[in-house]
Amino acid sequence: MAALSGRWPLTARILTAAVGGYALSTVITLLLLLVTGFEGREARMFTSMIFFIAYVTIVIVAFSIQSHKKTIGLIAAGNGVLWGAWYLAGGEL
Amino acid sequence: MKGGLRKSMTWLHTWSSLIVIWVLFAVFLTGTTAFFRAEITHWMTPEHHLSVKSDTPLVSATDYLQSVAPFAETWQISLPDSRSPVLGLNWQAEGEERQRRRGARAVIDPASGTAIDDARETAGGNFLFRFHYELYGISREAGRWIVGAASMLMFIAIISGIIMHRKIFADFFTFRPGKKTASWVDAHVVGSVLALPFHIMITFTGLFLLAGTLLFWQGGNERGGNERGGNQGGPQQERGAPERAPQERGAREGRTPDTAQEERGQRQRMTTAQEGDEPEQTRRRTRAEDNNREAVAIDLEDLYQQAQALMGQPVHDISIEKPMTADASITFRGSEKSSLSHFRGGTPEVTFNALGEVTEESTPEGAEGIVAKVYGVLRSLHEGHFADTLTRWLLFFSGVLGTVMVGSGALLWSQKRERQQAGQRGYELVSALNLAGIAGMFVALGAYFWANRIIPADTEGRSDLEIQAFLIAWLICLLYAVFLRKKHGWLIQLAVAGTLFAFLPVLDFVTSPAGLLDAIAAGDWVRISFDIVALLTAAGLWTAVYYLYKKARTPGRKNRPDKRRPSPRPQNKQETAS
Repeated sequence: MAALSGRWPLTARILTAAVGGYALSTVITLLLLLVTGFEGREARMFTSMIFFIAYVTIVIVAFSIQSHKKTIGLIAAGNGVLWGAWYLAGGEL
Repeated sequence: MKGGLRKSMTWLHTWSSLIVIWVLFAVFLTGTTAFFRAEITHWMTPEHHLSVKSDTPLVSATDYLQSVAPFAETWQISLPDSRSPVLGLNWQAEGEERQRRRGARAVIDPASGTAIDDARETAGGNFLFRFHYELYGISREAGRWIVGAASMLMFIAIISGIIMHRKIFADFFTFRPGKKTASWVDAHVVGSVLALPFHIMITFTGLFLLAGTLLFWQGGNERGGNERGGNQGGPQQERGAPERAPQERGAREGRTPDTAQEERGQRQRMTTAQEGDEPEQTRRRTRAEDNNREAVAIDLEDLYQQAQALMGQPVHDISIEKPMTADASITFRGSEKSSLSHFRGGTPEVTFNALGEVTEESTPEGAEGIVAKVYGVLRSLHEGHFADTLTRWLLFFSGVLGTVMVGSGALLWSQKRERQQAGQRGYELVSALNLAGIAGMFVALGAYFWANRIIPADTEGRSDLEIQAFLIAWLICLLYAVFLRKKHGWLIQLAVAGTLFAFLPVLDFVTSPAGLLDAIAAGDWVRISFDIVALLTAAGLWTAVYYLYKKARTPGRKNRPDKRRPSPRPQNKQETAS
């Protein structure tokens, strides 16, 4: 594909979008859960709905950025910052 | 990514869908049939075809229950409706263990009041329903993981597909038949755009129904979830389901049994109860007399009318505690999920005592809280429980368009790359999987319905044999696709599928105890509609065969003059003259 450049950078981008995107969607969902204060059943319903919207958005964004490095950096940084924030906010799985 | 947003999205759209497209096709096709799973089960149980609608099904039900289980602790009655013409009965004997609360079960003809004991064991619409979210032959968890991952990729493909289109709605009004790749693009776009909201809804809601599996950090099955087969995995629904839910399910599933084993088990229990009628009844009567439980006359028909008036909708289920005694408690429930926002507690109920006084009345208040409300609506949309007949057909046709979208997408990939990549391993693999995954799936489905009528009704484990027929037919198609696809693979498999579906109505009327005229006279539109859909499917498949045959008979591209290519420029005037 003309839109792609190099096998390994592409593999790295796919992995970043899939795994990093999953982790990022998870922490976004958990942070939203902290903010909204939902608990129990309501919390699970909320996370079930929000997670997939977050995940698809992150994957689309991950593939819309031109630079492989920027994509990987952005998702890694996003994960670092948000998981850190979640930890500091006292979140636990 | 180089090449801008549209190119990136085109790449993402192509590859995110391609790697799972055959799973998606099978999921879409079987999921679409699942909107009519009760109806499919009815078609696949020809012994029920003799069942005739009655104006007094309640009389038939109570007469039967009084003869079989007069001193039961509870009676459960599921009345016939537009999806199934038979009466489903459950009863729980006094002192029966809690885990056997489904009790014995019988399916009876509401008109004659006789039990339909010899109904064949069939996997029915339930197999297709379960296949669409957990596949078959692998662990339930693995099946859900595969379908969940495929659904996620489908969701990505839909969103990227919308972004990549420059003029999505203008494209919708474009159809260029006979233009090879362009025709496939147009078919793909029409199938996608016409039911786009449905595609987004069904994919998204499908995902969060499988959230218990996909979001392992959520707690998944441990916290409640979706280990139970009958539910698609909404942990919340399972966990919060009211205590009476299994009984209701039992009554309903009298028509759509989950598994063959369960069906056999239930039937065995019923037979046992009937065989031991006399001593059992005597024993129970003595116990009832000891407990001062004297039989009293209760005008159920009158209570039924009152309940309908109070609920403002038809009664669907009735449960009677301590039936026909002075302590009786009779609960009437309306159509289980008549509105989109049913979620929990969405069924209106009215309870009477033996004197005919209302002791409890509840109307659906809907779910509490915005999250539960949204979740309930989305879940209902996916499952279609709320849908009346017309809405169910609309959901079905949207599902058909989704199937067209997935199938045309798969074929488009091959079509676009035929010239450049034919003969390459990847291209040939996709071509073989396309053939087996699309045409083969129709052959397998046709074989499944044929097996239902060909396998003798009293064969042990026949529902498993039906499923095996489905899988073997699919495997044969796959082997043909791998080794012989270039020998008119599409033509042959589509023709086989078309033939199987075309003769399904004939098979139906030959093997069912009720013929075509009987079905029309009895108003069995569920069954007739199935046969009509089979004929329409056959027409679609044979149309494809016709075009493929016509294409095979026309001279190949190499032999045809290419109108687009300009004729070679004459070298000199002499050549022009010649």
